[in-house]
Amino acid sequence: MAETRRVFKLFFVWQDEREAAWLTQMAAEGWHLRSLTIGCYTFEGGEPAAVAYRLDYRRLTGAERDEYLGLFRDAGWERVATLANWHYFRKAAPEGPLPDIFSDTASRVDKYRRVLGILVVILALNVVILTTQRLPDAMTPAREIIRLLQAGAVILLGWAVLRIMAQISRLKRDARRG
Amino acid sequence: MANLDSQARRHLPLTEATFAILVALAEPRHGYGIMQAVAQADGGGIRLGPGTLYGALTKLLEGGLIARAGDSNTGDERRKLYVLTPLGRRVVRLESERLDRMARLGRQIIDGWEEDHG
Repeated sequence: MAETRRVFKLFFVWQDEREAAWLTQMAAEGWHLRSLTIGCYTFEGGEPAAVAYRLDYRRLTGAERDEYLGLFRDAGWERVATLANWHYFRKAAPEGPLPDIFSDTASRVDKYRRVLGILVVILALNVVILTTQRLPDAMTPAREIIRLLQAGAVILLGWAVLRIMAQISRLKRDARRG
Repeated sequence: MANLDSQARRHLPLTEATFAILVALAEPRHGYGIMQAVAQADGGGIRLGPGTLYGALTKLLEGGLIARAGDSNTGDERRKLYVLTPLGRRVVRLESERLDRMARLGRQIIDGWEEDHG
């Protein structure tokens, strides 16, 4: 039975590259991702290794998922986990630069557009709830707290939308520079 | 025919990856077959990431440039096959002609430079 270790760590939705780099760093120290839930990563102890981690965001039906994962498997990528439509892949990279699951800017941009699409929907829903709901007066102290939490969610979601848009512009700018 | 042409033109220009995938699908291939064909293509192959390939296949299926062509069973592995549709063939033809025109234009100028500089 291999040694396991749990690490609690939060990444924001626009930090998937940073998250992947951290998982690569953990693998270099001999801790290989086994499973994860929101904010909690379980690692398995082993040999230190150079491993590329990459995240993709995609909502898939069952049949699509088989086809999708089959392609990655054929290309030598192991799917480690899926959490909220984020798919975590890894591939051993004993030498040279870390491989990527995307090979051009257009498809990298498409990924962030898919993320943006879902964020905008959630943001819109939150704004609608915040602006239309009428909480009963009897709840007065609790009401203020609920509203505050909702406002916080809207601000965080709005910030996430801006960060993802900035990420898309950065990718396009880097591509133009070559 | 004119209708197919105007339909095909809406898909131009193509990214390098998309063009290479379409060319590979002149005959039915599965995803892995596409990756291999694209990597080994004459005139410098390109390495295709699976995320890029999956995204391109999804879009090409939606746009009707490629269609499913059953399954291939090799060993215990079953893989989906894809192949160009008449629309996809037209897109490859139009894009090739467009690239040809651009290359000719460029070569005319380059030839002139070579004369200037010996």
